[in-house]
Amino acid sequence: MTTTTPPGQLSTQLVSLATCHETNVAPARPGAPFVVLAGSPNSGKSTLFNALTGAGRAVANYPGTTVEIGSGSWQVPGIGETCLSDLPGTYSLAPQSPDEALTSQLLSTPGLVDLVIMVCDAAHLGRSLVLTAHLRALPVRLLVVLTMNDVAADRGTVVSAGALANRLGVPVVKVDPRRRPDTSAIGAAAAAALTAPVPRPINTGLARTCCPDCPPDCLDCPARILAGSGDLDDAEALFSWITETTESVTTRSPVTRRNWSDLADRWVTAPVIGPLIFLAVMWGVFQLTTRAAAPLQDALDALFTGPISAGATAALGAVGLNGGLLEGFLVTGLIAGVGMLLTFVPLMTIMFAILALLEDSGYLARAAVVTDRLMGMLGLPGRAFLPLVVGFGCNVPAISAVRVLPDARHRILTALLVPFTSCTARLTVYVMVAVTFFPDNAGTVVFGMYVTSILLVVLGGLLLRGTLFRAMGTDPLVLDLPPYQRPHLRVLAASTWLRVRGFLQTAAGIIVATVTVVWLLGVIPGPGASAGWGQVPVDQSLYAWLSGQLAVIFTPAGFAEWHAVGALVVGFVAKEAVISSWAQTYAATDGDLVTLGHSVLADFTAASGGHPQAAALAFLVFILAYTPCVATIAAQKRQIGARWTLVGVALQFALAWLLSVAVFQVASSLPGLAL
Amino acid sequence: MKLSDCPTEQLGSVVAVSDRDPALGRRLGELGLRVGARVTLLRRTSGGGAIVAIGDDRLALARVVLRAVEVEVPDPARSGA
Repeated sequence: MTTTTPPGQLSTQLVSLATCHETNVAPARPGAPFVVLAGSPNSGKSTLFNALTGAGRAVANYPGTTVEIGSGSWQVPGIGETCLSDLPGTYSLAPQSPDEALTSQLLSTPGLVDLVIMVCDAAHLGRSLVLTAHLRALPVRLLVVLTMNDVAADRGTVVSAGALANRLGVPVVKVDPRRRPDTSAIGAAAAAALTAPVPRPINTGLARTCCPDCPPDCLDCPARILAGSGDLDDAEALFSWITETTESVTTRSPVTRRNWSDLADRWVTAPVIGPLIFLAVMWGVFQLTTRAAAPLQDALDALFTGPISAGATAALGAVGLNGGLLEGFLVTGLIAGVGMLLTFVPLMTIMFAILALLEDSGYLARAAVVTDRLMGMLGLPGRAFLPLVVGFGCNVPAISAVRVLPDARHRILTALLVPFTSCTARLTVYVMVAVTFFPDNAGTVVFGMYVTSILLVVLGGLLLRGTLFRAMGTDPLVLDLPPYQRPHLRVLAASTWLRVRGFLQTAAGIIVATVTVVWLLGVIPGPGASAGWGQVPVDQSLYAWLSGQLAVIFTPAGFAEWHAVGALVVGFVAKEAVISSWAQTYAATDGDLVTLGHSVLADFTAASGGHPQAAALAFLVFILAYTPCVATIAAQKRQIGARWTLVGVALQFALAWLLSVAVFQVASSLPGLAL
Repeated sequence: MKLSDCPTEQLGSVVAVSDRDPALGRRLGELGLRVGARVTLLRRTSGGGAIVAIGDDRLALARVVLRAVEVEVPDPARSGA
């Protein structure tokens, strides 16, 4: 069985996914049958996907889009390897977001998909039947999988798989993917469906004249669905069919059971208590992503900068290769780069585990309700609050957290705003500069940086909403609240591992390459240097020369000085390295007699024409607003694609420069700040 | 009356959904909030919205959405007679 070429109106990217080997999205052999999982959000679709594909999952943005699709290889008995894709959740084929549009496009393209597995939530059957009705009216192979049967049973509701299969005319299988399901029933049903002819569509309330050549009861023209799906009047027949179907396949217990979710929501979404609970949860998230991860990060950092680097140096010494460029490349470039990458692993693991926990438990939907009005000021849904809060700990997991937003446009906008949240790495620079330049008001200056950070998020959001995101509407809150559930450790662990692995795959190249390039700049002699490769002092290296050339740009900001600009270059890799870069460059040029603070103060005084405090404020604002670190770029590339990542970097630099110039020009004209 | 004005815990029937925003109306329909549906406003939420129940389903809706839905509730005097 092979997939057929879709009609011309669709891009060749669709074919790439269908053939499973053109991109790295779907790791399956060429020509493998293309099977997709479709369903509404929170229907258990992704959990089922993980159960079917195991660890062989690749998560990537769909080519040319920022819509994330998970794909993997699924062995179907009697068929062999198939390419299984987990499509973004949607309620129908009438899309209201880029994610839903992609799902709708893939499902309604004739001949593209070999089998659609429609995941229906037994606890919310009527809701799942909207998309099922759309699909059943199309000439596609369809297998319905009923999930959440335990949740439905708790409510006294039982859905008959046999009755539903009779009503739909396609096979129906019951599973519970959250409790290590027996996937053999799905495999057998899929195998039977894949080898059977495409079932004839049925009238699910959608049959109507669609084009001049079609008869009034046409059931074979896909255009009918798409043409009519946006019309509310036409939906009445569909909704009647759904009501009839739900009532004919469902039996309900006459006993009304206590709904624990309703009891919890009395507090969790209440006007005053709800926000307080939300703040407490966010405080916990913030603590876990900063304090709990820090010791592990420090231990890994110490391991790489200590024993591993020393071991590599000793090993090179044993074979007579120490002290040269090779040692520098291995220890300062490669090992330092890999070490930096791995220090993010504890942080990302904690972040992804928290995300999975919040999602799986059902709390994230409640948090979205509580913060909806606040985030609505930026045109973002309430869930965007989570990544923005986490950003004040570390921007890298915060950007990964934008995946909680179901709309691609919201994910992009939030991922562009996260870098303006002031992470703890920047705090080290604030403290050092504030203590040096404002010894009597250091605390106020640091506090002011956090206030500026919040203002930048708001201003950046308003700026983007007024320009690049002008077309993005502000949708009022309409949110399906899933019942609270006890999170399953196996589901949490699988989800966390998949996400951490995905981050490492994307970030490894970018981080190691950038760290290596910065090391290389430091060992290459600049113009007029007195020593050769690897022997050159820092102040004569290409790094110093390039920093000096770039310094001109910062003349109107008051810190056109190579040490400061060099620190910004290193700060592009990681803000933690700004102070050590200063220490290294000043130690190399000024020796140990002059303290670092005095050296920086003296150079800022000279570069600013006698306004060091104004220049220091401008420098701090630049540190806050420009690219936080190379790992942030890697995380952005993974979440929103290379193009938007570049837009973000350009925006950060432009805003950082403009603000730092404005701060210096204003502050240097104030008599109180002119030392 | 508008769903936003409906007393909490009061069961009502949806009699109309505003057609001013067709996409919103369609999404509400997909989620079960359509003409004829029996709906209960469970409680007001932070931010001015509310949680409504449609059978076993729960929806969190903004105030502007609640205003777009017309419901009919039983007349207390008549039901008590």
